[in-house]
Amino acid sequence: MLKAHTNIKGHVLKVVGDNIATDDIISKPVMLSTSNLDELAKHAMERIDPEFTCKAKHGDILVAGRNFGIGPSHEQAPLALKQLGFQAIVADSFGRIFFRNCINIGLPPIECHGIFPLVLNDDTLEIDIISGMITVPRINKKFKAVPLPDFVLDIIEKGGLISYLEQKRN
Amino acid sequence: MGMTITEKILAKASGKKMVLPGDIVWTKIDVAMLLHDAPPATLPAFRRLAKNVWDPGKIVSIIEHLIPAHNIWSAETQKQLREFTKEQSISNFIDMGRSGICHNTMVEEGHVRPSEVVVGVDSDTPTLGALGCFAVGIGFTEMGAVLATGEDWFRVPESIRISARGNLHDYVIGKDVALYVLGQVGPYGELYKAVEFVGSTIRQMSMDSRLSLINGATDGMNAKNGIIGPDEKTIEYLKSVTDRSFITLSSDPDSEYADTYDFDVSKLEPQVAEPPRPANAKPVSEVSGIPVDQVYIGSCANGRIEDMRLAARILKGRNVHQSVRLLVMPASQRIYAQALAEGLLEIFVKAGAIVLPPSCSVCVGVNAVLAEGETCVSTTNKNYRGRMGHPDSKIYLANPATAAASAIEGQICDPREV
Repeated sequence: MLKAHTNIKGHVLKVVGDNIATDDIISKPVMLSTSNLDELAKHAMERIDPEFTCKAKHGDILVAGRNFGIGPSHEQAPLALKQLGFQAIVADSFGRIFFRNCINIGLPPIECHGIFPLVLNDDTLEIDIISGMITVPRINKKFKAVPLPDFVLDIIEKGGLISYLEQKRN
Repeated sequence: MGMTITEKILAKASGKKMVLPGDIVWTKIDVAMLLHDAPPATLPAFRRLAKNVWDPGKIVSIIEHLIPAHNIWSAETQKQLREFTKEQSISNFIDMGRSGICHNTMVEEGHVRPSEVVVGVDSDTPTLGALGCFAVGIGFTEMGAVLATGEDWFRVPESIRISARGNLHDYVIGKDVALYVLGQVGPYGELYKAVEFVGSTIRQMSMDSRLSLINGATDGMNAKNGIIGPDEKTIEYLKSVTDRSFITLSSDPDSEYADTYDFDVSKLEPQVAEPPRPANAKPVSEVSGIPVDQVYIGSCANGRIEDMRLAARILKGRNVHQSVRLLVMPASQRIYAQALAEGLLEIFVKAGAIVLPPSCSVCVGVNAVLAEGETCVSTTNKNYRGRMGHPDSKIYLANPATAAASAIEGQICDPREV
């Protein structure tokens, strides 16, 4: 299993609005008719931004406001975003089950206060997940994310919970 | 320094003398609840780690969410769960015809005991904390890891304590206390916390009301888990559903809470939560008169026998308003049979209601779907935009009595006035 990158560089795609629920990321009718990841990815965010899947490019970094991923535990939400090719999600704050699911599937959730209003779509972001430092070259600014516990960093570094457990027993 | 009940359960399950909020612990899982939407993601994750589940006796497999199967995906995933259950010799298997909404079936079939760690692939799993266990919802991949190892990692949450004092009036039940508390605390103020309910009002509540309280409050507050310390009522209830032994834990007098709240609910009116969030709770008198198209009485929040009886009290000898569709759903086959024996289903049918079999279908918006501009009064715990159908439909949350009264009047109505 490949080690997940802990130094991430990508372009910003912003999602506007606070309190975006997992039901907004993938709606219930969609998630109750398919488990195919490509199918789910096609429907990501369609209820709040029908253009979202066209705008998203493989390798992008999603940047969101407060309480991103609030609501039900649907793993389909972070799975669809990962399938679309996002390397990480940076948000002011997260719904906690969503946060946990992101860690467990190997999609780094980075909690960073105050960054949302200062970045623009297509900005380059450089994230060092271990130190929590986010650099925005365009405005020559660095932001410090809320530190992740070492254990969680370990899971992310190994590509998610299953990879972590696989490697632990080898 | 003492520990709260949640901290004690996590300490015990992780083999530690003491844990503090913020600690990451690996805990042994006592009960894992598996549902039919899990297999597509859970089984591949599981099979990367193991051939056999860690302990079939600790897994409960229930076919319930979308029954009867509403589409091919639903039918296929149910089939996958049945096959996996058989392959792994999981004897705690409850299929449709015997099951109910998972959180009801888990309690009724005696799979929930105090002081244990229970994980389920559903975000309403914290409901089970009403019996004094640590119960949380987890994702599919994580459940795959649990099935293989029997363990899971948790960050110990901070606890908050909510005290409720006073006798509740007639037609005011656990649901109303949940909505009222949400209105006071807010939807995001206690994100990720362990919410512990104490106080004389809680002690007086029936088990049905306690389950409804934890179901509504924990979910609406986006908390990690909800919990009520076990008492004589809990023990008496448990003896009626299980022979298994259990221990009871309680919060130490010197344990620390991140926040404490104290509410006098003796004057509480029936509550209604306006869309689009459960924390928009108001006394019913402030929202009376809003026209209603559909009323739903059921779900893991309020589909128990207490809820059926309350609705039947209002609906007996009455008719559903000509412009309203009323759906009533006992939350399990057991409750369905009991409501049938007590003559409650006859009351509902004679009033003009549709009586549905137990499932989550209405709450998740794949059955009894709302059209554009329609308004539903519902006893569920979620009223987010588009939850039950068209994005421009509206859901008001209320207790079964308020819902039944609204079905009769064709508008949101105080049950004390019908």
